[in-house]
Amino acid sequence: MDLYGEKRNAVRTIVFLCVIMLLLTIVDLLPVDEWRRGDGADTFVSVPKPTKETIKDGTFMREYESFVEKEFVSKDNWQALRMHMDVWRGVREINGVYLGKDDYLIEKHSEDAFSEQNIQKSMEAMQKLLEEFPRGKLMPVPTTDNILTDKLPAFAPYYDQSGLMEQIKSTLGEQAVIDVFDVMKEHAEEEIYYRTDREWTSLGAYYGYLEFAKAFQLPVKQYLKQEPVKVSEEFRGALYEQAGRAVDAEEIWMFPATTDKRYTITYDGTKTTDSFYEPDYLEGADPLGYFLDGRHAVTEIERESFSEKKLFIIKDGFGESMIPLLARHYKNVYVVDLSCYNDSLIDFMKECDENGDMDVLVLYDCVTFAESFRIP
Amino acid sequence: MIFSSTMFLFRFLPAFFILYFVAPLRMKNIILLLGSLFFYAWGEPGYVLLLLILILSDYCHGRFMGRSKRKSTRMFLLCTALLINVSVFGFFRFLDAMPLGVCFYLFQSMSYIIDCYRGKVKPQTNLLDYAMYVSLFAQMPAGPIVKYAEVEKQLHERKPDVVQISHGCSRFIVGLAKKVLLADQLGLLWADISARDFGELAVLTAWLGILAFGLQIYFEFSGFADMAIGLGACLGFVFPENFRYPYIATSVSDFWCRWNMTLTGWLREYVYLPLGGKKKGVPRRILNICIVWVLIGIWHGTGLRFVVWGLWFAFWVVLEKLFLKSLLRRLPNWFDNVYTLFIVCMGWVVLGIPQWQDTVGYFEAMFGRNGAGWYNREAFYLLLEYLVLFVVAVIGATPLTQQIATRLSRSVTGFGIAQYRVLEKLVLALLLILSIVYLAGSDYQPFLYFWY
Repeated sequence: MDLYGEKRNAVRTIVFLCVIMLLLTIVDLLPVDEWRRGDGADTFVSVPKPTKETIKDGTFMREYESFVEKEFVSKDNWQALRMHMDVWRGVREINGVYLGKDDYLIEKHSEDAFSEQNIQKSMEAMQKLLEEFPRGKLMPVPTTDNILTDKLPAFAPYYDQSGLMEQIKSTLGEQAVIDVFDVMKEHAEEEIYYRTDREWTSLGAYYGYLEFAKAFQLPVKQYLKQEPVKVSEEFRGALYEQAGRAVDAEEIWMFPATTDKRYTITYDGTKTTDSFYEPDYLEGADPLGYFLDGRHAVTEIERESFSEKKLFIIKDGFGESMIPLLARHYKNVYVVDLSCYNDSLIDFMKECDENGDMDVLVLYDCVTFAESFRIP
Repeated sequence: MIFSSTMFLFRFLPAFFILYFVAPLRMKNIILLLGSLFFYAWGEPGYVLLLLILILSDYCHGRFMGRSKRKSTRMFLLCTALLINVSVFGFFRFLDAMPLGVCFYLFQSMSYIIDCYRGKVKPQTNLLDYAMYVSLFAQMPAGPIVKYAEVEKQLHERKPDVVQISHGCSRFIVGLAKKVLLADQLGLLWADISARDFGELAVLTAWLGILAFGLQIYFEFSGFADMAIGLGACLGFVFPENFRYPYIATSVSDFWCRWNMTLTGWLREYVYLPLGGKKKGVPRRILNICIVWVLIGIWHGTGLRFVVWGLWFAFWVVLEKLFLKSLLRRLPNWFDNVYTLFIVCMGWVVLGIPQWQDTVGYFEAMFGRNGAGWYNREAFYLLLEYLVLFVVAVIGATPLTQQIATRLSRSVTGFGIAQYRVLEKLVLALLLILSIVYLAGSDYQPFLYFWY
């Protein structure tokens, strides 16, 4: 006798829950690779085969278990769902990227990067460079979190790099440092950093250029007088990939005054062109390669000009978009990217510096400088 | 293979239950035994032999005990059986390499042997049934400890009706959600904070960390207990409860009447009372209390800190028995609650941090002795990030949700009943799916190793 339909209700509950479980089990057991892999997974682990030994010592069980876990049906979608729920419940950081206000993705920098030991080594390398080239200047560009502090999630901790800046100045001397903190802070309301990348935008690079020109006493070219040109509105940067978080795409701009054809640009001594910009990159995986053709160990820029001045830039994956702005002031600009350059740097620099009056710019973001400025 | 893994949920569980329900009645216990052995062998293939030997040994001891009438023989049999079980426990404890579930099945077999000796239960004549009782996979990973006397009848006569099974299903899902949605997530916060430099933790951060850890332990452990009770119900067993909202306790003694109840119950019945309990004078009673809590400590893990952890509670329980309880009774309820939580949290620090110097450092952080201040940006950031989780967890640690569910289910109007039944299914499905999202969507499973 089932007076209140209690049993019937119990059966319904059981059936309902069992259907969910069994459906997932069956779908997961189906041997259709595309289903199992979801969208982005590129490593397909095959079903482990049991042998006498692997069963005996338990490796088969562990492998099979991790196979079931890794290859669970449409793993990617579960992961994406999980991330949404995490964000929904209050998580403000994924994979070392802060989910900031107004769709800003801002890289989180751990304090370990700023260990006194690393900073000391970077300073020593810089001092060594300055001994050889007293006209050298260091431009440590603060990272997004230090400038766009109001875009950070509420209370998000960040390492204040102004202390590092003071330390650099007092060690190397004021004249050897180009401080862009103030100018960046001043323009923090404008779009000076990408929302989805750790790079500065062309506008940010322009403000960096103003300080550069001031420091080397060059006549400033007012690039903003001519309307900047939008070259892409589908840009999603490295932090977008890292966080895997869906935010709107953003724009890439450039200054039209940098496109006159008086330059000869040689990448790694092989590829030669007359433009700083490579539109092919905009559709690819590394859209910022648009500026100066992505990463190259050595880039040489030559300009038809009466001036004999030379500039040597040492950088590490940051700041390419500033180079087209300052190239107009020099006959030769040499750019070395230390992330892919392994020869003796000082020798190469001396080779370039025939007249002994070459300007030298070390263009780094603060974190990379503190972490790993070393001279090969 | 733990319950909250895709392997268990989408391989073992469906396969096992299909077999179990398809099998004819007399085969069910064999399926259950084979399933349990498979479950155990999957995780610890080397130790399944040990399990079988222990089962055989205890079974034979029980049989011999049943046959002999002489008290001295029975005593001798009891001693050898206990010696074997205790030395196996001691051996693994000393090595600090306790295989999955050993803690639980040893305590279960000991309850059987002692009750046989006392004549409380009849020695089991069917080896299969006995083996099934000891190795039952449902409570293997994390309890509850089921005394033989509690399930003696159920070993043979189980007729789970659909209502019991549906309760079992919902209990399992609630347990799964507790483990995956609360314990694992709060565990991330504790993992984060406990990996930092304690010299720079603000007071607020340190307290957030230890609260997260305390809630993590509770939801992990009680989640596993819920899953075990739920699975048991689906199989027709009625397992004892293991937790009764410990964080609403109003004294440390009360806390231990609500936390891991089957372990404390076991120790009470087989250690505390035989030692004389409170009948042999105050000093003896204090000693007995200390012995019980040292054993609780040792049961949880290897090392001095577990003993210290046990004695810390023993200290407060003794104080309460002596005078503190009568004092607390005169104070408002919320104060008793805060006092208990405070003592318990102190205990979690000892349990949660492996190195002594770090433990001291953490205490210093909790009381602002490290000079890092009361709060900082980081503390507020973490608080905001975990606020929702903390609120849900704190509500979940009180009887509130249970009370609401009970009230709704008591509805008498037809519409009320229908409403409750739909809501129940939706909530369960939601919890199940959310748990699966978190299970399938992560590559990493935090795991409190020391329960095992």
